[in-house]
Amino acid sequence: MPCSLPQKALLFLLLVWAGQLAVAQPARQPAVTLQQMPDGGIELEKGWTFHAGDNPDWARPDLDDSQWQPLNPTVGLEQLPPQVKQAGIGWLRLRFRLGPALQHRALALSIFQYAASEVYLNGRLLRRYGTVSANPALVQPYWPDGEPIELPASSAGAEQVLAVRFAQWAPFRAFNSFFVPMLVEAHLTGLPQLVQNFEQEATFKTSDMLLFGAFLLLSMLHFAYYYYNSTQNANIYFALYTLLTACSFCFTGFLDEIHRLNLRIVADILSYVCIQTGGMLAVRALYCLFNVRISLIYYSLWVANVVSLLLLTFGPQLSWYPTVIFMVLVTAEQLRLTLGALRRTKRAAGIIAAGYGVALSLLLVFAYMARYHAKLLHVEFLSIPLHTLLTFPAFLSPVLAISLFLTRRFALNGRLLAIKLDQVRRLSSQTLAQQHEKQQLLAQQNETLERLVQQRTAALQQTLDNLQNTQHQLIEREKMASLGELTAGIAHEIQNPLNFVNNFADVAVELLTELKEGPLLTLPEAEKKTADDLVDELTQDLDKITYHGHRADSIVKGMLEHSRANPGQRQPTDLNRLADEYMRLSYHGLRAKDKSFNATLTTDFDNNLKPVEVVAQDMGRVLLNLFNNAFYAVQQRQKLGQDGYRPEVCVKTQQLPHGQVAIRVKDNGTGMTDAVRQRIFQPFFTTKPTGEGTGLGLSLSYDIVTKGHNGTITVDSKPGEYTEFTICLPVNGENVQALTYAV
Amino acid sequence: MMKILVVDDELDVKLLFEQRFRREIRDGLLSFAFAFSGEEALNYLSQEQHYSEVVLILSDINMPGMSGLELLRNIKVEHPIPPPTVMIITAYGDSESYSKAMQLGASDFLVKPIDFTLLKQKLMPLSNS
Repeated sequence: MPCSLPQKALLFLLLVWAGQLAVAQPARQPAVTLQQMPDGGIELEKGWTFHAGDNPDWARPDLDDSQWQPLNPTVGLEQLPPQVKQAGIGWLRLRFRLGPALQHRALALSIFQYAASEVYLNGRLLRRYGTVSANPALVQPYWPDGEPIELPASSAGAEQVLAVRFAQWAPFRAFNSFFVPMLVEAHLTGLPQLVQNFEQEATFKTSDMLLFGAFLLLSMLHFAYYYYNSTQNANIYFALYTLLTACSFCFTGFLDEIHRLNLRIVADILSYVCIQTGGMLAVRALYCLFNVRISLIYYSLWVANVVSLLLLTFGPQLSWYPTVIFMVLVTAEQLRLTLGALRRTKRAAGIIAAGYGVALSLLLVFAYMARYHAKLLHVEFLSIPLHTLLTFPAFLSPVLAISLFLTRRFALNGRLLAIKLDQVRRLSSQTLAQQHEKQQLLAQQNETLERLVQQRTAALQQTLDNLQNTQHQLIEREKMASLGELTAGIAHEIQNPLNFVNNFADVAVELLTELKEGPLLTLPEAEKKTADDLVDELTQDLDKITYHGHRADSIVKGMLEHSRANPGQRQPTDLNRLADEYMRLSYHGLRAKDKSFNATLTTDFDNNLKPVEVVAQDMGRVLLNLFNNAFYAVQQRQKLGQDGYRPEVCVKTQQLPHGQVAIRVKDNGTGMTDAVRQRIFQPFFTTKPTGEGTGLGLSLSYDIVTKGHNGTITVDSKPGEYTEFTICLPVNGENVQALTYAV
Repeated sequence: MMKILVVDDELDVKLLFEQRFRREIRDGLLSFAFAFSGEEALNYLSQEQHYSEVVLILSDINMPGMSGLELLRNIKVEHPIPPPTVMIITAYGDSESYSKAMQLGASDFLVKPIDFTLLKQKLMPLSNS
């Protein structure tokens, strides 16, 4: 059918008036003699006669068929005369003559039919199409598709007889004449027409195949979209729509290749089912695409689809209008959806609208030309007819537009995802950076904290050391204090017996003197001498007792100095002068006893030393003690006779921070061991030989410095090298304690 | 003739004083009475004839029972007329005891061991008067 493609185009685009192109209405004109060959070939529709029944002789050219009923076999089954309808099998005969113009030209006969037939020319069988049988059950209809049958050459002006033995296939009667438009149609064509027809058909087929391919590709594409992103339901509907449309074009394209008519009609109907249902799916896709709620209109359209298909297939005399009406409705709905989307500012819907616009304008041009310049439609550009050039893009543009729309949405989603991904990446990298920063900050804080802890620990350690030192000093001081008190107590108790020892010794000496001067004088000379000697010895002994008693008394007196309750008055004193004075005093005191002794005296006085509030007498005593000890130590070392030894005693004063002053007395004498050093401040501890030291000098000094002046006295020594005493005194004796503890 | 009451818990004080002042006792310049506690001293003084005889009291401070300073206060409070001369002799030569004794009316303060030469010098003006 050469007009199948334009037909579909019109269906698809709902241009009702194009329906006029569907089937050319046959025009009756008796023609027995064929004079001219028109451009489209000669359609043999006149001069046919019919006879029901079957007889092989009816093929013979010389048969008298004057009684046969005239018939035009190219009309629809409905329009056939009743006797033709009733007859299952029958014969058609046509007598014709070729005019001089057609003689000697190569001619071909083409048959189109909705039946089974055998074609005879001048009694000779040319072709057998399908199975012709008087039994309707055995009839097999066949579609010859107008294959060219070469006509044998014949003498000029000779009458020729074309006989067709045919059998009708009963089920055809049920279908709309749109699908079964005629019984038998014969064409006579020359070679140019034949070639032209083939070219046209090839063009149509190519168009169908191209559209089939294009729609199939789109379908596959959108199936793939759906497969990889099933959230966009529009894709599946659109894929199904394009698939069905592709099927429709496939059926249409291959329709003429199906020669078994019973199958061909099924394919023909299916192509319409596909295209209509495809239209419904396109509507559904638009619903999805524009997020429109499924409405009653949609369901009504489905009903309309079914009804229109039934009417198209089985409706008598309705031709293809049910489909046209349905497609009008579908397109209206599609337009409504698209315009609605445009109104809702879905700017992308413009793409679809543009697709429809292109299709509509192309088809309007097509319709206009079909109506008023039909011939122009067959003008060819590059051997493609104009109508194909118009309809082909008209078919594709809406579909491509929807596809483009979906693809665009897909791509936009992809791009959006990429942007989102980029944002996420940036955010995550920011978060990472922040985390890193936080960690660094934390590490820094940790470090700071650790450093602080270390500092604090060190400070605490320092404090602890100070406290331990202080505690040690306190214990020492307490020990000294209690020892001092004990000493005082002992001293008092010793004084009483000592009182008697000294006084009785004294009085005993007096008594002995009286004895010697009195009663002893009366003794005889010899005895008197002995008695005098005895008295002298007794007196001597008593003198010894007195001497040692007085010694003990001086010890006790020294001890009592500790507990002397009333200290002297404090007054600002120049310690430099005091130290210098007592150093010389001590040195000369020692020199008086030992002329050979000599030592270097070194003084290193701080000229900035402030006057210190001390009891000058007491502090002098302390200094005297220290100097005495120092000179004693260097003297002892000198006695060892070491080579190059130069005795030296050094005194140094120093202003310290926190309002303290220090006096250091250093000698390069014998030094002392640790054991000695730990005991030197204890009362009665001495390293000097008996009688030379009381062991109270340093003990007393300690009391004077610590108790009396709130200061400290410490000693540092190395045996055989040096000894250094350091006295620290507060300039203003009150607040020193506190300063000492300050960390 | 001056009578001196010596108050001391040490018994040997009696012997020491008698020996030290044996010449003065022998010459009749001084006579001694001894009490070995503050209570005994007060008891002795409470007898009228003894009280009038005693010119000088020499007392130790540190004694069991009544201390020398309490004794001093008692004497000064209970026997104000005629006021006896009281001298304190103690082993505690500290300034606290000294000022306390002086405040209570002691006429002198001597420290043990007793320097008898010094004591004799102090007694001479009293015996002459």
